[in-house]
Amino acid sequence: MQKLKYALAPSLGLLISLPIFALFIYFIAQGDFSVANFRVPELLLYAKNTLFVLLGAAFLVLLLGISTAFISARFEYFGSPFFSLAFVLPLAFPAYIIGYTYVGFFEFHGILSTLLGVPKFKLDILNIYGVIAILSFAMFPYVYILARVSFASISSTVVELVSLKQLSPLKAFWSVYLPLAYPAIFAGLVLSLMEVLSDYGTVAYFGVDTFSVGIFKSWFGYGNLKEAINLSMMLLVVVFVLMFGEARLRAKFRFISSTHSAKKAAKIKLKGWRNVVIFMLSLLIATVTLFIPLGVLLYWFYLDFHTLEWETLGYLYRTLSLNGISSLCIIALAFMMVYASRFYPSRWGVLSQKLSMLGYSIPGAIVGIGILLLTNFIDQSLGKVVLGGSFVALVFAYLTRYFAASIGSVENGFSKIDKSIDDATKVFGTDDFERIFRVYLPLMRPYLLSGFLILYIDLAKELPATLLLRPFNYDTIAIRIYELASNEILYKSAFPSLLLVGTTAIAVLLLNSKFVRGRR
Amino acid sequence: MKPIVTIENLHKRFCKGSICVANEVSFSIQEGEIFTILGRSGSGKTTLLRMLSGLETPDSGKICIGDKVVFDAKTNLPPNQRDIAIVFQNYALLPHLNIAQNIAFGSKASKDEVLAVMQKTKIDALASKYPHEISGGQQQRVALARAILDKPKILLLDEPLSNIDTELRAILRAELKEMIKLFGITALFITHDKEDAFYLSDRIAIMDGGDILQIGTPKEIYNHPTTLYCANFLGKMNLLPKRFMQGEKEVYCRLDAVRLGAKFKHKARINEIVFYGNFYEVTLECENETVMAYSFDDSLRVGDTIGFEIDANRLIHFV
Repeated sequence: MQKLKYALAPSLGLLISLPIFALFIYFIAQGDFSVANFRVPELLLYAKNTLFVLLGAAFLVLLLGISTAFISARFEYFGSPFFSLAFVLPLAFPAYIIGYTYVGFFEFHGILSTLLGVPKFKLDILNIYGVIAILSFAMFPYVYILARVSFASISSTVVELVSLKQLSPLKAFWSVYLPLAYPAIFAGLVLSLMEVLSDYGTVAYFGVDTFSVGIFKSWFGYGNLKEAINLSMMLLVVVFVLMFGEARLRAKFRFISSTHSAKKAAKIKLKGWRNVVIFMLSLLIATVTLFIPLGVLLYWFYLDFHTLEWETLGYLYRTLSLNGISSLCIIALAFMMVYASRFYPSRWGVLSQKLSMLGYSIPGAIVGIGILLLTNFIDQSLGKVVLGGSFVALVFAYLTRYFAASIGSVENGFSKIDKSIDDATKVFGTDDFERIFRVYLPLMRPYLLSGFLILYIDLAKELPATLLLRPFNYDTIAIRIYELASNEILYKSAFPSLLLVGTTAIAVLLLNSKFVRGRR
Repeated sequence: MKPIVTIENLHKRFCKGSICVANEVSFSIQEGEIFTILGRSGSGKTTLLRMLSGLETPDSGKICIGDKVVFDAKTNLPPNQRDIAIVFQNYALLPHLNIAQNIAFGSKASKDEVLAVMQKTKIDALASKYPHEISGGQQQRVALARAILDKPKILLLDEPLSNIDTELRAILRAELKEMIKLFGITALFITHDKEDAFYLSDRIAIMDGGDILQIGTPKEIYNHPTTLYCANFLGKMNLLPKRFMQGEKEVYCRLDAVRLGAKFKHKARINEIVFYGNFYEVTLECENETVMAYSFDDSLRVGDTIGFEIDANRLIHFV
């Protein structure tokens, strides 16, 4: 029995990373580079587009993320509490919804042309630059959230030093404040770029062929699993280069944390023209990243008001229950994993925990392909369709893809519990059951809740894995939106989009609120 | 008296064997005594307590608690089956349970028994409060009440006084001793503070580098340390002039074994006087050799000549 407990964490980790292993094993055993499965011109196109989107998005995400984070962490100005929230909220939008709204905003007889009174006016954004802008609008909050914490924890002694040395504000920013936030910025940037790589909805709609589009084309278009796997492996190389780069950069700039313990510097109250300039800048960013997408959705909702499809509520219910159950399963497994590796530690446990976190950096389409391989293999061995197109397969994909997102908050929670509490429960407690239910679950409640909310947001926005693996005719609200947009009935997508964004926005606001943060 | 805890040849190494934290340690603790393990940090004392409680697994050896073998080559009972209880360094009270729930945590004791322990430790008025709402002293009593509720064979105290400022520390120390004696518990106390050790203990074991160097009553180990390490660890010493030497062996004495006064026949010049508030530390020079002593006399002046004598019963030499 005791031995089984030690095996729990390693086996969980192995299970979670199984779809990724399946891909590798299949690739090594059956990889095929014949012309049919390895078309060089397409490959070059995918690589060129993916790289260009990555670089462009990196630039724009950094620009938006760092400026908003610095403004929000260091200044008090007109409307600053409102803007500090407005900069988080784009996270509630799946990138593809922002994309649809902008297409609607700029098209012939679209909202902008109506506002301008020039019906023929059109700005064509259905190109790679459009993709870069849209993905950046959707992903910059990752940098904003992490860098804001870093900028806000600059110690007052650093600020005093800057004023003693009489550095100009610009010089102080470049030489002192920005480097102090490097680790947070890199971490946020990598999260954003992983999401950029994972995006399917936006690039597909905008007609930009990246690797993730290629994976779908070869699987859905040509039914060519081998090519899909080849493409997945290429994309994985990009992912690993990114991860490696981030690890190197983070190791290089580790000097930061020493300054965080001291008294925090107070925010600067802006007056006069500075107040106006920063307010206008904030308003501009919030307009572009939040108000326009939200405004367009509300306008379409108004157009559609008398013809609303009430079945949409059914999609919402499905999404809520699927995501709720999946999130619960994932967070429960994350809790079990961290608990097991804390009380029954082993070297395999540490290794497998690292492995289980791989999925977060791997695009949903690849995880989906890995699951397809697994379910095909199992179904073929059984001689009947058991797992293919089942909920188990879909939840498994979510588990592999998003396990790392939940284990972060669980680990964070456990790290706040003193080791002596562990000892006390061993000495005075009776068994694991009592320990879990009377001590650790109650102590971990806020962390589990925040892990649950993070999962909920990620799952609600998820498109590629759901598209690949959903049970036949089981449409989530995200899929319904995607279908409406693909059929060019954009204004009809407003109602489901608003419902989806409504639920994720609630989750984002909860995560940001004292209710979850304050009780830690 | 019979031994409550017997430890035989307990051995433990960390870091793939490179650090020895328990080197064939053997000793026993008698029923009703407060036994202290005194040592610097890294001496292995905390690991010893953790092995005794089952929180750490020894490499080899044998541990008996009461009549029960709790660890040997075949047995390794978990902490909650060893008849022990621990008062942790930071008390480790569960923050989300109130005081009464904290004390009753994991115990099968009845409500009346819980109440009785709370009354004896004078915390019955705090039953519905939470740990963060009570003082450090009260937290110690709660930790103690939780530990003694199920009447363990032995109570383990893991430096419970170490993070407390000096003033409160003296009060808590007195309270701790009173409670332990009141309940008649056998206790193993771990500390790095010799003052706490002297105050609380019936017997003290001095530990360093995984070895137990000496076991004895506080007076024995202070006045008759068996190694130079033990002697220096417990207080300052004089290395006495050559004429005191016994054969080849150097002879030492404690500073408080040197008596000062005009009536004593050895004469010396006062070279330095250091004021410590409640006493003086005086450095004497006698025939080009230095001897130090304590004094309460504030009429002494540097440069004066004074008589001194060394208590012949308190000379220290090592085997």
